[in-house]
Amino acid sequence: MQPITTTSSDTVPLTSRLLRALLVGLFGVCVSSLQAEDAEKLAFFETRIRPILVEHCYECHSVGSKEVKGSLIVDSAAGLLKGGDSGTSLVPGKPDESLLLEALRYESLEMPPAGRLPKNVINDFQEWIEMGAVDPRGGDAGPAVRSKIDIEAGREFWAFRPTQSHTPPAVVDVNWPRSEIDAFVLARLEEAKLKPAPDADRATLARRLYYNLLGLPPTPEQVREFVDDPSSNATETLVDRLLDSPQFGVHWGRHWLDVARYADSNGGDFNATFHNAWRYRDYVVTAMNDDKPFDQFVKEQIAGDLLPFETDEQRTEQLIATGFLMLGTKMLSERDKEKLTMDVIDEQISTVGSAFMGMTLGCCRCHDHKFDPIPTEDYYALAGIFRSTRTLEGESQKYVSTWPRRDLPAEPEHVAAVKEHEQKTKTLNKQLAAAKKQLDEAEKELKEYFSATSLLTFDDTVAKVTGSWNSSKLTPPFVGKGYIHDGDTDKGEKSVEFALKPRTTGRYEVRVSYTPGSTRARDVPLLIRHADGSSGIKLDQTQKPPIDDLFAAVGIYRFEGGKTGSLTISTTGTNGYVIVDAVRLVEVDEQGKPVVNAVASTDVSTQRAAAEANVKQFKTAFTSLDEQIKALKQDAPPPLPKAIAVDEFKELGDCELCVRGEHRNRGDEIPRGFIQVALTSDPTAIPKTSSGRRELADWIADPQHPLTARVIVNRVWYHLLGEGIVRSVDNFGELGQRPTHPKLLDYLAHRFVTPSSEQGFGWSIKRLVREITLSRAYQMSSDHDEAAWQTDPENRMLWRANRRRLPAEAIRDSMLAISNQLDLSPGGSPVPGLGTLVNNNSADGDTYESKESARRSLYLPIIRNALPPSLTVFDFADPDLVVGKRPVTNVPAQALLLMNSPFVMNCAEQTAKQVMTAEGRTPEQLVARTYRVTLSRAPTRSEVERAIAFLKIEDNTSGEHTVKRLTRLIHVLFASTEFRMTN
Amino acid sequence: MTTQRTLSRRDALRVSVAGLGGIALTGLPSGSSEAAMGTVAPHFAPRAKRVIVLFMHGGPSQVDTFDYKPRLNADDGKELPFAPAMNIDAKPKLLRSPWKFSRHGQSGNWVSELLPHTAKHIDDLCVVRSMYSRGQSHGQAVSMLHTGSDNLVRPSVGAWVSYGLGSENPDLPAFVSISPASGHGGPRNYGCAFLPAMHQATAIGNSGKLGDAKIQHLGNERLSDKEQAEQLTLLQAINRDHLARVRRDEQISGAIDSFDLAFRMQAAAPDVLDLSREPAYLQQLYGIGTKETDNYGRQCLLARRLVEAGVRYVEVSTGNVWDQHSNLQSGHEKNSLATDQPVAALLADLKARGMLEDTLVVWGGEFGRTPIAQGTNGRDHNPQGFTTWLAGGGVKGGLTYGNTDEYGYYAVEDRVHIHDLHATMLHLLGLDHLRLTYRYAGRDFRLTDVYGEVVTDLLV
Repeated sequence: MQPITTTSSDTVPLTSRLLRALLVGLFGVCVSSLQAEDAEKLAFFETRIRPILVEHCYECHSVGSKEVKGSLIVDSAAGLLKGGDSGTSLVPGKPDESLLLEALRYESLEMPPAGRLPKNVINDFQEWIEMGAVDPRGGDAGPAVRSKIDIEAGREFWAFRPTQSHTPPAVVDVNWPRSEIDAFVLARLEEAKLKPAPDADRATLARRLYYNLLGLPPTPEQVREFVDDPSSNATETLVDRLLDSPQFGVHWGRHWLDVARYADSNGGDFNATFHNAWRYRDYVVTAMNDDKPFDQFVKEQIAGDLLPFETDEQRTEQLIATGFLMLGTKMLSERDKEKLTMDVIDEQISTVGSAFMGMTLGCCRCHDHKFDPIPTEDYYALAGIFRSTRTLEGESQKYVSTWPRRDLPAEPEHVAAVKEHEQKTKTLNKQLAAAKKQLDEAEKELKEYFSATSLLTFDDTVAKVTGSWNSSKLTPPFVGKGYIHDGDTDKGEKSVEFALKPRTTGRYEVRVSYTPGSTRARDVPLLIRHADGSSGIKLDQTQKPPIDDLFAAVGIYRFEGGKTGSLTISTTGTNGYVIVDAVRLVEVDEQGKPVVNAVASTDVSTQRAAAEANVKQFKTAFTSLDEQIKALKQDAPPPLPKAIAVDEFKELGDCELCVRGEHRNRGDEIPRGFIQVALTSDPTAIPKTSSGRRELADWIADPQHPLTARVIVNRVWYHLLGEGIVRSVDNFGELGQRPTHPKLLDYLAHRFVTPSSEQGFGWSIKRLVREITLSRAYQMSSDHDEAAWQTDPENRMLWRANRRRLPAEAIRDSMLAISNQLDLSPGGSPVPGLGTLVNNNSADGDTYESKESARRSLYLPIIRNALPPSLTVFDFADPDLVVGKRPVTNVPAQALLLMNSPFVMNCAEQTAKQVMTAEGRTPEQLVARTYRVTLSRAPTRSEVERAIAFLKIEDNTSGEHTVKRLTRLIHVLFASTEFRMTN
Repeated sequence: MTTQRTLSRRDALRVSVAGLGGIALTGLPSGSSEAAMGTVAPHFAPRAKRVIVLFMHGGPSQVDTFDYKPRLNADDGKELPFAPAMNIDAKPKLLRSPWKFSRHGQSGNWVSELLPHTAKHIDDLCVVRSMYSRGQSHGQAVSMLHTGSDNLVRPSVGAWVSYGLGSENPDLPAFVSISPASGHGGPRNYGCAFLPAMHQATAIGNSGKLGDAKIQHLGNERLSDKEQAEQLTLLQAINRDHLARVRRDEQISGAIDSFDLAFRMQAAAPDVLDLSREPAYLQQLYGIGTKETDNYGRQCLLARRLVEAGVRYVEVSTGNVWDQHSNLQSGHEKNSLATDQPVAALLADLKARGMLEDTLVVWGGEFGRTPIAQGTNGRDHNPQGFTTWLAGGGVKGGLTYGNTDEYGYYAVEDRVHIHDLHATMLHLLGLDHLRLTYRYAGRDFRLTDVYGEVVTDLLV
């Protein structure tokens, strides 16, 4: 126990005492009696309560605490009364309403956290509260529970101000700008006394454009075509052609999938397969290729299921789009389902916040945003919307939640075919069940036959078994459910003892049943204990048993009625499998003939034969049906299309605020709504009859929304220029970076949302891409300039183009494309054949390994916990997180993959073969061709010389050897820094 | 969400800290800049320089190993006199331990007969009997133990340590996970989440099985060493030309460094992974060559070789074997047999080398098991109270800390949450869990979130 110290904050200030005296005087209470009673209560407090508070609570809950936890201080009476984040902690006179007591009892909160206090201490607190919680301590109530965020002041922050339509600034070098973008960029450069870099040469620009727009390298012919195009609008022609390529959607769709944390499985604890996520992936690719207006794209992903539609096709698309809300990783096995629900909502809010608005909303689950003007109420206003949305439904196994699959519109013929197939399957299954019943009955009859004749039959199941025996049914016939064998191992350690206990005294023939075969033991030792002693005998189990093909007689012995004899089969000294099935006693007369009441063996075989024939017949019928069902399964029409998509929840309504994010600690209900600081007008009221997603979608996709257009325009700029105007592309908040070119950002955002009829882009991504790529700013060279570099090493002012590492997909796809192996076919499921779970959680949990594929990387299965290694090593976006900007790392794992991966070497070999098929086989020609296909440029003289020295090809070198040497040269070029970068 | 790095992009492009097999390797190769991807220095004098975590995946039972409860044995078959935890399948009927407990060592602390080898080291163990965690299912609890979060994707402890301290050997990773489970979160439990990629673990083996102990892409099956060297020479010449042409590019110079480093690593790592370099008697001590102990013995010996070579944080997983909802007796006996001798050998080996002083060893599951019965011979999950022990680097040996209730169900006295364990582990490594932070998505994250207290009573 710590000594009780009375610090200044624990003493009652004089003023307070005076006040009390004054009050007492004013109200004319009988001072003396009050004092006596008070003194008693005070003593109780001082001896029983205060020491406990000091010892166990002050560390975290006093004015002097390093950090006051839960906004609660208990070193003043006022603090205790006021309470903390969870509300008032003390109601004098009402222990049951006092949170303090609840916490001490570990009923809701658990305080103190180091362990529950002894029962008598808790009883003291109860008594103290009952007595009115007399507490002489002064001091104020501690910090305000929640400091109020000033939303109006928050609107002054740049990102929350409405976008302005800026006119391009005047520049000194009027000849340089080719577009408004260029004017903004140049003005900034001139301000900093910097000059823009010269234009990039055509070959460099071709490579840049192909990679930026398609994620693929140009062929040597495509480079030449562009370089040789004499027309003044050659670049426009190329850009338009690339924008029209279906590969544009593959590359740009992937950019959005990074933000949408796209994956084909749930990951986490139960790595459930998302069998239908690919439909969302394909939807995104198509949206990019079709240039779906971005506002529409936003609305469909948040509320596609609630939007009107005219065709089935449109309905399908819109339902699939809501997969966006479903694709997050979830702790499906969380047993506390309310917690799981709140966790899923949290994931949705965070994703929507980052993806569309560049806002980090996750922090507001527990408290007001510490940096941005977003109170925790805003979070729960959104939570109400997602609480009213169905994201989880049912369980795939006990405790493990699963999600709803929504039916998509299907062709009537398809529906009919599925229905017919279902009907057929049903009929066959019925027949199968009937056949199974017949078979079971026949088998039962066969068994009954045995049991009827087995009054004195002892099956292996009733014997005393020593050692490890294997049960089997492999070789019929046998008695009972099967037989056992010793596995031909551990000879001498195994034995089986049958207790033989006939009712009446007499002479019995002992018969042993076994299933014969050539692998059986020839000399199985048997020991029979009978009324006259014991006898040993050896049994040859390779021989067919002579009686009914089942039993062999091993002698006639006398047994006494009611007394137990035995037969022990052991494995000692045997060679081959020892079989133990059953033992039978058959009473015999003096001549050794079975006595009358024993079953005649001829009868036995006739009956058994009949029963067996029955079993055989029904088995055939059963097998035939089973095969028909299997065939039908093979022949099944594709399943009706389903989507991983949200729906409205059956209960619609507002969500209660969870104090400190604790789902069990519920505060007030917060009316559904949006982020207040980003409101530009009065919000649309959310009707009681819907979740509010429709209204949320409309609000986010509003051209007036201060964040949506800025965020997406910035994302596009980042993908083309290599850095965003706001470099923290997913965070436009206080802790994010400020725009390097704020007016340019606003200009682009404003133009982006302006209808095309008014010279805007009408939310068109492609028009935005076109505008940017045709600017001179985009087309600058990436050449180094020491002076400019000294001034602006991070190129924030855009004095040159950024040299960039290719994304992981482009590195892999390039090797496939260059080696002429790339499969450009679109769409489809990457996870056929995967079960409910990608891999199970057992001790021997298998790891998922994807099949090799020559398709574009976008179509590889994105299995959480098992991402394609060739992508992750080059910084593929982690699908557990929203990744608007992939990190670019430089780790030896990349070097090791490029040096040693069979994939890279195979691509090099295929490329070598390609190079060899072209015209011209001189070393110079081979090297030139190699450089053109791998690096989109001709080699320099010295490069040619060095490569030829490496190749060591003479005139008489065989073609095979040339391919080998060339493979190694291409392998080196694939690993080179130039290959993986664009200038 | 944006990664607010503590370093500039240029720094990030340097190869100052390196990765292997998809994974992280730390170290500063010659010629690289001062850039550091993490703190790479302790906050105060460390008591431990490295950590080995012996992860008993599935949840070994505390009342059958270290938490001796005579009342449980006496009341076998009786109704549990208080409420069981929610959402479990066990019936509230007490189930005695099938194993005998006895006192061991000078400390006289209790260990059951399941772990006779570990018992010999009891005076080196700091046995925390009052652990508790969050997560009634494996997924949450395993995640909690590894990342301090039961539901969100967060960096694992080893990744934080790598971020905070880096590696002691420039040619080896800072964080290695031996035979990690592919289920229950899989790579997430040794991943780096939003920390730079280099801090995630290098995995060797899978799901409790060491296999041939290889690292992906570390070696070429088609090219001889000479051919590779020849290719590397040409490649680096081409790369240096590229750099010369563009004059200044951190990304290119970083890549050049990284190829050199990769080649060096390719030469160095196989030696460390080669257990045959250990003398026969030591292999025998670990139980290598004996059927039951061979697998875990090899893993423990590999762990020692790795930490000895400078790896900072090594986890050794059993695979999800301890989950005895039924067959408690045969299951726990089998698992104890497989792990007890190797674990004891590891302690003895570290001690003999003088390494136990500055190596922290942590043994435990993601949770314990209920003292009440599931079926007739099983126990359900129990994050409400369980036992973890620590040994070596800066912890009090021979100490028993905290208590569960009279039946070993709930931790009641001197409770230690997983967050507290994490805070204590970091503290021993010289890291203040309040100050080891990383800014991501608009706020500073730490391993212990807003929780965690260093359990000073455990420290020497």
